[in-house]
Amino acid sequence: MLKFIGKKLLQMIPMLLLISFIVFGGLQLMDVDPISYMVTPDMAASAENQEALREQLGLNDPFVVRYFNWVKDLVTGDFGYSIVNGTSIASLLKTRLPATFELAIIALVLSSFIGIGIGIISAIRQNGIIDYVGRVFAVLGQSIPQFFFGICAIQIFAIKLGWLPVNGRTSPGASGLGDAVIHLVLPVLTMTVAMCAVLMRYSRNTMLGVLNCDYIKTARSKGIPEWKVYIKHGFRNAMRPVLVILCFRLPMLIGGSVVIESVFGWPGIGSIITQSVVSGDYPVIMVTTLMVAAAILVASFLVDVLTAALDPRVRLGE
Amino acid sequence: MSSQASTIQQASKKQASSLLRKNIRKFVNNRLAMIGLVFVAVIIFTAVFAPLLTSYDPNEISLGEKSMGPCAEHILGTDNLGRDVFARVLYGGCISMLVSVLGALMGSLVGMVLGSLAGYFGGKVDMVLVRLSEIFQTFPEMILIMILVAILGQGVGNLVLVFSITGWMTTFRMVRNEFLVLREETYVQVCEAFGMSKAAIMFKQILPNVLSPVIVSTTVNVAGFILSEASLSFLGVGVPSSVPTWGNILNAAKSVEVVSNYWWLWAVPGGVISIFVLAINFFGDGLRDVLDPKQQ
Amino acid sequence: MKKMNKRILSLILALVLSAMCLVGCGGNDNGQAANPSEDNTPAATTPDNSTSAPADSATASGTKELKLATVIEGAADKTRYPWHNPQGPEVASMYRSLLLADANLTDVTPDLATDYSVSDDGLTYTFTIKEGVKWSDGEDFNAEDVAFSIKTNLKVASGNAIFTNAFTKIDGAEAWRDGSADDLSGLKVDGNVVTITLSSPYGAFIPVIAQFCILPEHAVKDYDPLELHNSDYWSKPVTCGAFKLGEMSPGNYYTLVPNEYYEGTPWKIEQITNYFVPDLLVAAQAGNNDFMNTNIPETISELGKLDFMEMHPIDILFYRYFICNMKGVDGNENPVMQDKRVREAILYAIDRETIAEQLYPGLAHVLHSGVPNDYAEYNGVAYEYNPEKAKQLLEEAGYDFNHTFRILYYYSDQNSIDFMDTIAYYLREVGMKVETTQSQQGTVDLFQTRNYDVGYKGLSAFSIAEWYGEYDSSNANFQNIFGGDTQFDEGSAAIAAEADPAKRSEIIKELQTLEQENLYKLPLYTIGNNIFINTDHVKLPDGVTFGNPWYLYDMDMANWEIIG
Repeated sequence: MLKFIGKKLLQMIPMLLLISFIVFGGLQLMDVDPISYMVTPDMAASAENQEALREQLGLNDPFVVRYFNWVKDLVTGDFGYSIVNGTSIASLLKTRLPATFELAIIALVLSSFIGIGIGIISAIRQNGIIDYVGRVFAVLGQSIPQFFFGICAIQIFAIKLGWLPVNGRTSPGASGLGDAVIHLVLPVLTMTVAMCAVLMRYSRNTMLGVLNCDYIKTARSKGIPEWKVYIKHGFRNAMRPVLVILCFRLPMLIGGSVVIESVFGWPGIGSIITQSVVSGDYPVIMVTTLMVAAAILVASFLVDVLTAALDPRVRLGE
Repeated sequence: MSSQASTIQQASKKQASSLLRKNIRKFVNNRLAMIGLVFVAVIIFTAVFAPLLTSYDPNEISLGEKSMGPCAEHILGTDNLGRDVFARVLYGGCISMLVSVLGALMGSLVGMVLGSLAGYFGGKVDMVLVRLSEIFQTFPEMILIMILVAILGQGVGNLVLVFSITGWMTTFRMVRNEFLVLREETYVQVCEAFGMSKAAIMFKQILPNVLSPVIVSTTVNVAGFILSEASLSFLGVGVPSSVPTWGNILNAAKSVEVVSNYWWLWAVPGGVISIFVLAINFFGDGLRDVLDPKQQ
Repeated sequence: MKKMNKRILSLILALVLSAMCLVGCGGNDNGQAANPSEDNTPAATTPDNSTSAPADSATASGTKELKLATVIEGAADKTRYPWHNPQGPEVASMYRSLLLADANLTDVTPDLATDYSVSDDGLTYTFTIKEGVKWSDGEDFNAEDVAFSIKTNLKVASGNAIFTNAFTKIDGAEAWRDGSADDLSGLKVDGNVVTITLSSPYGAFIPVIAQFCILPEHAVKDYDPLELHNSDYWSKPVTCGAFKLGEMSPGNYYTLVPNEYYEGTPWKIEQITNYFVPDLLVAAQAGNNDFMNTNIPETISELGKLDFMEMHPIDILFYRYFICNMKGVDGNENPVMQDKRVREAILYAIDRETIAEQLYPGLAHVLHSGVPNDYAEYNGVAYEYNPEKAKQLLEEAGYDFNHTFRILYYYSDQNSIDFMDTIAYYLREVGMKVETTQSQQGTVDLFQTRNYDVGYKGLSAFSIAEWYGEYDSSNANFQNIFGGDTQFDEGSAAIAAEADPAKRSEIIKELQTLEQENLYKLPLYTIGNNIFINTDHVKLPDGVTFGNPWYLYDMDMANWEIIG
């Protein structure tokens, strides 16, 4: 088993290197000149100044040199600085990653409970009221553009009703759980609506599949109470594939947070990626996407280990 | 031998057509799928025949008629430059659907070709291609799209390219897995014994058998890309804002002023996007029910 | 059985790993959220934690707090860089200049300088520096800080052109900038007296000084001037105004708290909070934006619906115009724009009057040169909407109607997108093929890559001289577009030097004629601005006048009262 984990861990290193090379190479093709963003058109800045700045930032070095310099810096823990606003990327990650994970994990947990819950109920009571309402909700959640849902939610809950803050993650002076929770409600809600839909459909289908299996019929014929059949036989067997899907959703949530964070001014990694793409801040794009890729590799590693541990059919040590 | 082959072919055609008929019947009986199909057809039809349905130019500005609610002249009102919303949604739909359908088709095509190669040849080819798809899948879709947009630049053509680069992995996996199973089948070995070329075996003999899940995943991708296009417009990295697309029209209506005062400016594009995505999803579900042998 | 153990072991391992991930993130996160309340935690962003803590804890119990909002840009972890545009209450509360301007930006009163004098030839300026002023870190403010700030400003990579234009007139500025001199010869410090000698007169030198925030030498000297505008200094600035940075919560907000070293009367405001927001209007609706300015009609009408937002219209010289891509310094010409009739045709083709009325009702005024129509200097030449004449001019000029005419703009708000769509529509109506492109790389595209025919630009002009200064062949940006044409040099130098109103007026008239003969810039309109104050939160003292929101002037903020 340790060998299995070790092997999986070792496989991640060349993957990460390859990804870093692709990201680095691809971004060299961008025709956005980072210098341009640093100086707004209304301001004067002489061409010599720009040239000096370019030289100083190492933008004039050849490609391979820049790649190896970058990897070397990364390995030694030096993530570099944003060339657009000079912020240290390490400090950016330190403040931004937790915000994104906070949002993503809470949305993941919430949408899992709601999505899987409704999915299972609608599978058991197929064509019942919950089934219909749930399915309508699911398709609606999947078909409304997230940013629009978010903007409407802000108008209704923050402006018209005034229940919740309009944006941000904390308020000045306030602290503690209450403040964090009220800031989380709207972004989590927006994220959850879309997420729930997918999980609901998936768990409903899986549960329906399981309920049609022979062993359920056998269990029923044995006279086991209905609820016990669902919990003991149905739920447990339906959960395994659903759990795997769940683990794969975390990276997708991070991707989804790109839009959500822009709508709600959430100081996470997603809004940083958007801004750096728009401004051509490639040190930031490279490190942040690499971080996201690494997070996803870790997540899929965990999924591998989990499934290996849970599934008796997968033989270990091979 | 040749006559034998032709009779077999005819027989299989007959079989295929009866299967087709059966499938169509099955599909028609699926109410939601039919509703989806009807909506998709209507929306595509109106977008393609936009010039017949409206006499307005989607870019024609008439400042004297700005922000008018739906009325006899402008059945869905006008926007803040006096442009006809109905015309804009029709012409915009044309571009949005073109981008997402072409993107999804090209993505599937790439996925099918690479999946066939990986599945049929196996070994090193398979390993390299699988690794490649894994790398692409390591990036959240939205982030991958944004990086590609940053590299390629904005534009209708580029967006199609971006969507085809980001949309091939699912198809690739499905096709590859099917190929791994199917290449062991007897008929493949028979074809090989007849000396058929590898390309012919792959694309003419095996591929048709794995088409149904590909069709389903393509429809799902179309729906996803429609939403992605809208999100990209919101983030300012989509189709240039001067081109009317559903995403750009909805994004232009995102300001608080519009949301609270001019409902038709957001409700119409928003509604059309939602209806189209819903319809495509229903349609895809229906297709899956019909085409997926495991559910039969 | 052994296998089972392995499975359990691996499961535990995986769970521990994932738990570590969660705890790691969660832990960080709690630490952050708790920072403001825990007095013992040394918050990295707070320069002086012990003094800011009481203010923080007081917030809950009704501190007199002024709320501001800024649109999120980049990491949103910095306060404003005051050498771009010294704008808004947050700059006014943190930084000070030698002199304080009035709302017209012309008349000045002493601030960091107790006194100043100008020699008769207009070449020598003497400032007596105020004593007893301290920076927010307790260090003394002195004349060296002034000299350091001016010298550094000449070397920064990014800053407002008004400073560069004025300071390059100082004796020896060129040599100091290019590094051939170790000191700026025209700048002398003697005790608390700063003497500045110019090589040629500069009429607006005093108003410019009133916009120039002095920075502390001891805190800024270690930063590279080329990167100063982006440096982390702005996350922990040292200030000499009434306020200093309290807490910086990146991406969320920052607070300003009273500077205990401030030598003047403490302000009635006890705290200023600046929120980083995606949308200023939404922030205002939520009551988190007590002071904002806008020239977007939809935003104005929406703010007008809020009873608590009080509108103060301000009349400023904000130009919106097209710049024709003529010729680079490299001598490469853009053949499309060379014929003046083409440039003229564009002005005739666009119904600017209707656009101004419909898109910017009451805000925009059509412009026919750099001189607004209600100025005495305006010569009456007008380019009224006349599509027929535009077509005729284009045909006479032999314009190629198959050419795709490219217009570039760098504003990303919806209003500008709508405006560009309108312009494109009018040009198509006269038979041109038009493509509008929103550039995310403003400067380089507009001034260097030059792959467009016309660029759309805005200028919040400090004075009319700035508009004409753009034609100058030595203008760093525009020489890339107008190819270093020297026709305007004499006039633009004269207007910069002249302070006498009558003579200025003559020069402006000449420049106006020259401008209309060339039409390198196609003036579209000037646009007014409105400042909105949340009267539920803020009570303004009597007699406050508001001026150009991009510049620094006396708003009597010391007497703003926070109510409710």
